[in-house]
Amino acid sequence: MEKLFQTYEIGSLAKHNWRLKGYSGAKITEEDISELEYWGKKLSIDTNPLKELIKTTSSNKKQEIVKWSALYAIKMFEKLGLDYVYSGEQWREEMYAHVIKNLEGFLFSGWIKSFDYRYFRKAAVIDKVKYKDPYYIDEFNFIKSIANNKLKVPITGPYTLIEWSFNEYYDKKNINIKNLKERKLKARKEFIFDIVDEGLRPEFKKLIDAGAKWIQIDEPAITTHPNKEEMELFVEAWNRLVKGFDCTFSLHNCFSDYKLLAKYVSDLKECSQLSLEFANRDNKQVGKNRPAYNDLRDFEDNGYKGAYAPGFLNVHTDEIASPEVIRDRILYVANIVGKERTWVSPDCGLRTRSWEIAYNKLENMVKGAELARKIVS
Amino acid sequence: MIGTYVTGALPRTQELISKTRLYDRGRLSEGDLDVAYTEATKKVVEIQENTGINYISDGMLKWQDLFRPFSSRLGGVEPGPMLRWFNNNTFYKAPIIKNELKIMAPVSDPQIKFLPKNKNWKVTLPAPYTFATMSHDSFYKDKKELMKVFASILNQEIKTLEKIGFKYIQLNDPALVYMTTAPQRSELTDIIKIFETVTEGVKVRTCLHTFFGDATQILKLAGSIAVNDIGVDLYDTDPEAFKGITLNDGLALGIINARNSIIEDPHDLKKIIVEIQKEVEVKQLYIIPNSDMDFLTFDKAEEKIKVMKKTVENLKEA
Repeated sequence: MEKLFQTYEIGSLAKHNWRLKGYSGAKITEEDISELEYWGKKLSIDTNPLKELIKTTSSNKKQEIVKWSALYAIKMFEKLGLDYVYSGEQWREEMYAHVIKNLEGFLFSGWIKSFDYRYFRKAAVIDKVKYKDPYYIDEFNFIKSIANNKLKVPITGPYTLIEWSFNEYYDKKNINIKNLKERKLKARKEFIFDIVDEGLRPEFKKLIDAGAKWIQIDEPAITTHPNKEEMELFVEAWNRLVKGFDCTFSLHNCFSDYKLLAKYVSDLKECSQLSLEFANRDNKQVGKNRPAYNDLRDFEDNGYKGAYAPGFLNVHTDEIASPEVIRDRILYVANIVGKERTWVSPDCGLRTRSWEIAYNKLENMVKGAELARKIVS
Repeated sequence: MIGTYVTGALPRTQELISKTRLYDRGRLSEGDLDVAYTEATKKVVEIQENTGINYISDGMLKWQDLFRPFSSRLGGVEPGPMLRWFNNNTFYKAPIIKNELKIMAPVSDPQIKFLPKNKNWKVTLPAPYTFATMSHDSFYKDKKELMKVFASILNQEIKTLEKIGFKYIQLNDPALVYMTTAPQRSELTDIIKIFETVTEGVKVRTCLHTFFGDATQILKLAGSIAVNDIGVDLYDTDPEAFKGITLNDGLALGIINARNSIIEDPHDLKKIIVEIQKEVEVKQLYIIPNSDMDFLTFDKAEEKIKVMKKTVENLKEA
């Protein structure tokens, strides 16, 4: 029997100062080196080669720093005992910009507010989308070479890529359509299908040929437009994206309308698992009263047959949920969807938290899964 | 009369964004962040002044979301979980109402020291229906009751702003027209009656601004809403909706798309506006962005404000 309540992180971790400054060429302080040493010691990493690297001006310094940063993330996840691991997205500037800057047809326009003091770099599509440079495969090959645990590769989905871009090229291309609503939908369809065919599928092929077994498609933007046309557009793009590949696919979606999403997930082909965000909506007390997770029933009622990682850690607070709270969340979910279909992850990537907080949160999540395992077995 | 103003929050400048990111990571002091806010606020005010906008606002650069000053400064409520802001890649903290709402001090705190003394000032506040719809209420447990209480609080706040010198109060009500939050037609009459409480005894100009949705049903009732102006998002409302409607006074046409970076052509906008003017009698017309402009970069917003000005000039010439 497969291990119950397997654990993973969704994707991103914060980047250490030595990673950011080392990459940008800014001066690295003693404090930054202390941080490097602290985590190196904690994760049993020999930091001397990294400290030497930081002092050099070699041409491949940037790429080597990125590799070190990914190594730190892998070592952290493996030390914590997560069943599936990846790079903490240390390789990537950010989930959207990383893809867009490697495709042709886009022009970045600047930072746009997401919430509070968090922003994202938004681009406008100003020409037809075309594949330019590989953007996930180098990261995968490196991670594969250093990781001991199994891998789950998070990638950014097509709906999110179009939704987070200004659509100039495809909109102007359809300027002759006088009905603005029709024009907008046609322009979005052309845009998303070019993203799928020209942007993502070539990279998927490379990843799968190189041995990727599980790709998590991150689609935080779905349900942004809660209407039938847009949800069907998301489903159509998903099915076009995964068609013909021999790989496990899962969907991650957070801060979303799950009642709406539940109506469409059964139409997603090859979607083996949903990673969602419910801890943000849950209470913080130990116990069996966890109504926030009841919305999972909507997915069940709509016929979804895959597994769930519904989110057991709130990623937008420094508060550390206790293993007992996480245990109770897991058990509550297992009662709704079945223990074999319950996986354990945070609500989203932990990039907005410090490493200390992320470590402590994940440590309790792993402990919570173990407590739950003991109870059900 | 044709005028113009910006609706709600303007984008933070890229310089201010850099500073807020440093502050967020603990690499910038609060004092230095305040300096950055001062510079950016001066800039957004200057742009509005230079483009001849009729009502100047501080750009709401410090507002983390439409409700935050209320969820942070009113008694009985606090900011809660982060949720999506309608159909945008932007999030807000849902107000959690745990106790009786109480106004402790002026809430909206506009940055009046940066507003030019010789100009008319404008401020934007959340309307009762949107506040009640987007909050999590475990105290009143009755949306109408919550709206009523919030309307009274708004009334107090508006009167305070009036005393300070504000001349235009915009009440943002996206939930009133958004596809999944708009009320049933049968409920609308009761809901819009709440504006009588909001504007009771208020002498300055007020506007119910709707966006992110189709305002057709609101326009039908426009003459019975206790505000001066109605704001409409033309990217979600069919121009046919203006046929045969009666307005109290003014109409604010959200014709500048604050959610797309394509810069509009003032001549194209003029054509659309002229067609609408044929359908409805308007004493005061405002050419405005359809929503807050903080979905754009600062540079794009600035370009679009200039388009707004040019459109008004073209209309005046016509």
